[in-house]
Amino acid sequence: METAKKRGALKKLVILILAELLLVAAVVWAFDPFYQYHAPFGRLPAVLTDRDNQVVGTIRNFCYDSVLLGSSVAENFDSDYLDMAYDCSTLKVIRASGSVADLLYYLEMAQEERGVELKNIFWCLDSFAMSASAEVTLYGRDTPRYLHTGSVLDDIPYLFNREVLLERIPYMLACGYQGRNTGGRAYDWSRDKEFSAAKAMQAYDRSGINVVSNVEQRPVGEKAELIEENISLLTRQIAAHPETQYYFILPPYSMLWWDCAYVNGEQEERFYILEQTLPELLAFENVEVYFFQSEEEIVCNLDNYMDMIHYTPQVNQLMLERMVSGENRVTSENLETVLAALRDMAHRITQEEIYRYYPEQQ
Amino acid sequence: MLFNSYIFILFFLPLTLILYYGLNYKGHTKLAKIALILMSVWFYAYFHWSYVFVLAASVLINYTFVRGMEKRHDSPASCRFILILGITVNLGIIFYYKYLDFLLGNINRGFGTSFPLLNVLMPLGISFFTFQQISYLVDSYRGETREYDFTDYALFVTFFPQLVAGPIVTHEEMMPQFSNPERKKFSQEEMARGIWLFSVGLFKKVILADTLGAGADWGFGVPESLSCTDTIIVSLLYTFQIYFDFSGYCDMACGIAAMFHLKLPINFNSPYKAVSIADFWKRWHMSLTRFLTKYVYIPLGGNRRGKGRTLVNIFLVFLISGLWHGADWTFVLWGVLHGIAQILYRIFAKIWDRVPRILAWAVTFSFVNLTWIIFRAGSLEDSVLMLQNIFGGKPGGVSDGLLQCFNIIEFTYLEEHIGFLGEIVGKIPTIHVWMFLAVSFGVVLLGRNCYEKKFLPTPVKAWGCIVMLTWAVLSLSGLSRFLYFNF
Repeated sequence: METAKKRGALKKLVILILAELLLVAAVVWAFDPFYQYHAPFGRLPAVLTDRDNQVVGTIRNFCYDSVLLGSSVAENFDSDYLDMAYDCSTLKVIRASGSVADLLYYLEMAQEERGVELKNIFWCLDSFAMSASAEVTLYGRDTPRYLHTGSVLDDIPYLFNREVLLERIPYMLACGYQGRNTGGRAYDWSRDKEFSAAKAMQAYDRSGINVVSNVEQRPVGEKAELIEENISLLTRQIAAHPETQYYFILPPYSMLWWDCAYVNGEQEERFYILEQTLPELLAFENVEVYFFQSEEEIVCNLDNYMDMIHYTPQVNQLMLERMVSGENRVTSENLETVLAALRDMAHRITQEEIYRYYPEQQ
Repeated sequence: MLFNSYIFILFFLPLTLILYYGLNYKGHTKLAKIALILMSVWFYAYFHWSYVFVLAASVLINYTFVRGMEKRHDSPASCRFILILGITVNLGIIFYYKYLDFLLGNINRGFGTSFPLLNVLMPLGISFFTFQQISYLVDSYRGETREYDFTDYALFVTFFPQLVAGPIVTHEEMMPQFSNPERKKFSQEEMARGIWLFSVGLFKKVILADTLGAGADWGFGVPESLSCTDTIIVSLLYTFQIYFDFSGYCDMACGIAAMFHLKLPINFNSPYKAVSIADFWKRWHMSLTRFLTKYVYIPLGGNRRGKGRTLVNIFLVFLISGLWHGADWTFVLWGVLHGIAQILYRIFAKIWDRVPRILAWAVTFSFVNLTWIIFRAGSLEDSVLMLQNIFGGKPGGVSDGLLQCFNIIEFTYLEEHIGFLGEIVGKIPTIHVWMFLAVSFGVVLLGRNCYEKKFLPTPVKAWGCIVMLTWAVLSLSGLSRFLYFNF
């Protein structure tokens, strides 16, 4: 009798432990803040705030026919506007570094998941990404395995995770309730950020740099190989998907970015990237390129920025509107003129414009 | 494989239990032991597959020596030769993996030479299974062991709950249990007790030790920027981290063994309640103290060769203890200081024992706390810097970096949802640190050793188990390692 009672108690304890663990897993599965298993149920909006953890899940489980690729400078694009303008359903796919190889890893995953050709690919192409590593860097030590494998066993750290349960799910619900980071505003980080010349200059303290009037600009050197590899990655992707329309957007970095390049002798490398990449892209019929790097009114007004490269959502919107109306488009015909104008602008920045903010050094 | 990992808790442990009891239930007792050995090898190989070769070689070599002594039991000279050879080989293995680089580094520094360091990967727990086998060799030489078969011997060494961080068990504790038919049967009480101990241990490790450890890691990483207050807090954080880490491990090890209806010896008995350094070492890592007493102190002559020699023997034991914990001068100095304290206690024991208990406790705890600084510091210079911070009264309050280590998600969640808690934190930003320290003090001073307490299954304990286990499992993500694995 006593033994039966004890056995019953032990059984109950084990069942309760298992039940509680299962309950936790069920809650995480149902709300699924990383969208590992499904898109949001019912009327719950998709809340996208955490690119590194959510991008893979959205690629696998969301409904879309187009993607918007890019780094943090692409996060504030309103993808709903693209949907309206191009009659499509766009998924934002973001990688902080803007690495071509990483974004292609995501893109190929999306192409495989959809099974049919994607309609449009809007790629906010960062110049700095073109000279970065051409290897995929998504499998680092700190990247959870469950994001990249289909195995449920790998999902255990996700299903049984107090951060997911106590932080991510409540935050997701709160954002959903307030309508933040939903729809076209996925991953938008502009809320509560200060965009001003003072803020931008905090991120670039030129006063400590001893600059002479003519800094020697280094030749491209070893980076040329990396640039070539990245171009090759892009062209292979485009060539393999002739039915997909590619829109490359080259965003406007602030004049601080150009001045920084000049001070470090890297300006030629930045021109070289464009001179090598753009003709290769323009050689494809299914590619359109929109160029904003030489938009002097944006670039030279530091009130548009919070640091050297991150601009206001209004700049994002302006780019989309110009793209839709066909402005700022680069073609094989006007490429030379566009790049020449860029060189002129960079020269003016480093020799004149920057001194509106920093005293000239002898 | 770590006890505090998803794979261990959700897969390895249940599978091993089912396999072990299933085979025993079907009458395949030998097969059950073999299954337990193989699962233990998997547990060990999960850290790094190459460790298995070292473990296997160590077990095979030692078993060969033991069998050699058993076969030549009528020839004391042969047995003595085998014993010396066995101890030399064991110490050679541990020296190669743990101390050779330390020696070469010191030679290079001292004599300006440039011997290349080997940078070999030290198998986890090598100090534990090597010492355990040395004890077995010595006991075999003394004729205290029976002729156990290889399966029992291999299980004695590899049994996974004690393989990588002890306790250092002896043959008379484990071997009779392996052959006891009653122990092969599933026990309700032992299973319930095992789950309870495991839950308590996991909670201590994951919730307490790892959180305290974040603050300690931060502080020991930037000793030059710490104020006096910072340094005292950081030292206490480490003092409690190592306590809950090791205590948690011991609870989990004993709990897992209990699930297999086996009993491991007590290894940890509320050491911060100690009122003298001798008392501390009777409570902290008890199986190591027992090993060093039985196999080092007593063979050196113990207290049988006069007072002077006794003190020398005590000092040697603590020097070895320091070195056992790690190949670094910080560990050596830590061992030396504990040796000196033990010698002083031995000389002034009569006076010390008349000191009020609260004062004796405070001095003992402070000494242990300060010596943990030397033990944990990245270098001797860092430890000197931290001691200077404390005794030089370096100005400054509690650093933001330290406070951030305690912004754990549970606090954030509660403070966001319960308004007045947020207000309190706004007024007293250091409150999280004080809470952790207060809880830690409370547990180590007021709590009773759950291994010694008679286990009575109650609904409160059952719910305690459920809450602690779930909370700890949910907190497992992130990497953490047991401090005692490195020793």
